[in-house]
Amino acid sequence: MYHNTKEQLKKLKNTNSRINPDRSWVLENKEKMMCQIGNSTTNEKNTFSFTYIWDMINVIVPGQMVYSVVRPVLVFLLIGAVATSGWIASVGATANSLPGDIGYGVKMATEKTQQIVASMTSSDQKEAELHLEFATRRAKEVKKIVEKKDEEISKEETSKNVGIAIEHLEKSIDSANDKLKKVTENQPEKVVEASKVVAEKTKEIKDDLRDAEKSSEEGLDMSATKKKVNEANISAVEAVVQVKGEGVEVSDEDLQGLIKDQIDSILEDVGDLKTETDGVVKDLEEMKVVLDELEEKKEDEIDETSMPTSTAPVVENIVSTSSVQLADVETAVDSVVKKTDDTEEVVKDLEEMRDLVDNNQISEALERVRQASDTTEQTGQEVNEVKKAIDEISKETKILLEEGVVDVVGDIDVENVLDVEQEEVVDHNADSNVENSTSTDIVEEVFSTQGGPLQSGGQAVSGWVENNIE
Amino acid sequence: MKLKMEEKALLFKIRTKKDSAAFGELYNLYVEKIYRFVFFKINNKEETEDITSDVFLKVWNYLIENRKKEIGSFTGLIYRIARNSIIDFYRQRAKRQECSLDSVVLLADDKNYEKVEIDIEVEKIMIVVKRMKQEYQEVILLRFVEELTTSEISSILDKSKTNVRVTLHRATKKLQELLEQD
Repeated sequence: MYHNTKEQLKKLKNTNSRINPDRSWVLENKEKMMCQIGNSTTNEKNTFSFTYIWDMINVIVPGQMVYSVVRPVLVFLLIGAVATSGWIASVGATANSLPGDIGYGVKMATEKTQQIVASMTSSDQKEAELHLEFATRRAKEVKKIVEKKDEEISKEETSKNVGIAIEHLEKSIDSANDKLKKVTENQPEKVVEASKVVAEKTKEIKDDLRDAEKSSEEGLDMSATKKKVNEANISAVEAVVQVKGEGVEVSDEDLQGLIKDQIDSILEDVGDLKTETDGVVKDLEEMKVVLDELEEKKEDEIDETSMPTSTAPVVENIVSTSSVQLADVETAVDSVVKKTDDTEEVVKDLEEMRDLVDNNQISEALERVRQASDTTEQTGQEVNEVKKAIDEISKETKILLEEGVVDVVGDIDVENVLDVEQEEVVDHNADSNVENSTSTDIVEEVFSTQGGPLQSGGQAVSGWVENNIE
Repeated sequence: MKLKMEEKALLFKIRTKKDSAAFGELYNLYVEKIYRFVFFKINNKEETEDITSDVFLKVWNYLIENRKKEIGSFTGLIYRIARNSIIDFYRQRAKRQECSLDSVVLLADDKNYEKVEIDIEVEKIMIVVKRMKQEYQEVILLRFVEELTTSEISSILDKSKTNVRVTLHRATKKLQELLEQD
């Protein structure tokens, strides 16, 4: 009964009863009303009011919510916007900081956050790209640190900071590599795209590292890092070859482009290596000239008997041992030169393989690229060692000459020799005020850890140095 | 919900642009409701028509003149204006004789016999409703005929929600009693 009543009441508005207006009246009244309204409207200019904004939001959001929810929410959003824009600004300010700077920690934290967010929201491909981006930044940092010539920053600090950047760089490259592997497994179709990014970024990184090496006074050795970068690049191309083998469509053009990039980059490395080797050979020759001159001078002096006979053997000793070590270094340099030539040859073979499309041949080519990268790295390290050895020898000779022989041989004569020598030494080593004992230690340390063709040379030097100091 | 949004959009147009066409739309949405609301209390066709058209003009003027005031609910506004107009009407013509619904004559049409039958049933309820006090009539009409929510009714009648619910409960109870008596 009750429910029925409700139903009937509801129906009231649909009935023809008197409770509802006549249709004709409704229309008629509307016309009349519109006419009156039209008359009442004046052409008064609309003025903007903030309440309009609320009214507009009101249209979309249900009734009371506008005032109870939307307004507070908007206020909080504004507060949030102000707060985050401050944060973004401070983070942006740290974007140019280098290892050792105060803001560097913030920069790294920001990147870490970015990385975590990416790992939760983005695909593996995007993550790999992000890691590469970070690696590129690190490489740029290395370059900046090396180029920054500031009196206040000690060499130890610089090399420490470079070390930090390099460590992060290698980590980023490793992570990018891992992500790329995941991409190969999960989204083979994305590999080509990812590999292209890898090629592009690694090129950037290598360029930066190369610049850093060139502008470094310390003889910065980046060959290990470069190898790692090369490695990443090669495995990216290998991934492409692999997915092609699995049936994913890869255009020959893309693949060829990638291989070509690889070969070009190796060629560039080898070119660098060659210039470096040439430099070492030149240094060696200069050294020889200096020693020859020294020997001549010695003979002259002895002939004129202006030198006490007791010191003559010392000078003789210096010259003779120097020549012995030089001979050792020479052999090392020869081996380096030979290796460089070998590497060059391997790479020359590679050049012919540039236009390959066939999968097997491509794998072979990649294998060779990898070999070339390995030998380039090794040779690069050796070249650096030789360079250091030459520096050490020239330094030692100079110190000994200054301390032991100067007062014996006479100022003018030895200074002449020293001038020639010093110029060369200054090139490599600005800081030559090393004490005798420590320098011997350094030499020993350098050579005992090095091994290889230089070991004999190293021992010769340290042994000789010790003898003479006694 | 969609209707509500449309209504708000129209209201926005009227307030910002003085859009009379938008007001026309609003008129179409509300004219029957207001007519019924007024008729319930006045019981005279001609008077109701006059008051209804008056209500809409007042609403228009209110919207135009108070453009910076926040309007919580248009329903509440228009019904409140209608209520005040009715009160004004009573004041002016306090002694006017009302004609009752008993005199309603319905013509049965061959074609929609059934419909008319329902109408008679409905009219019966109307007669019963008319016997209750004004306060009860109001809530019954708004709640069951116009199907408004208690919060809307509370804004129209300017009472608290609880008050509306209690009144509504009493009114339905009273209505049931009266219907059972018949």
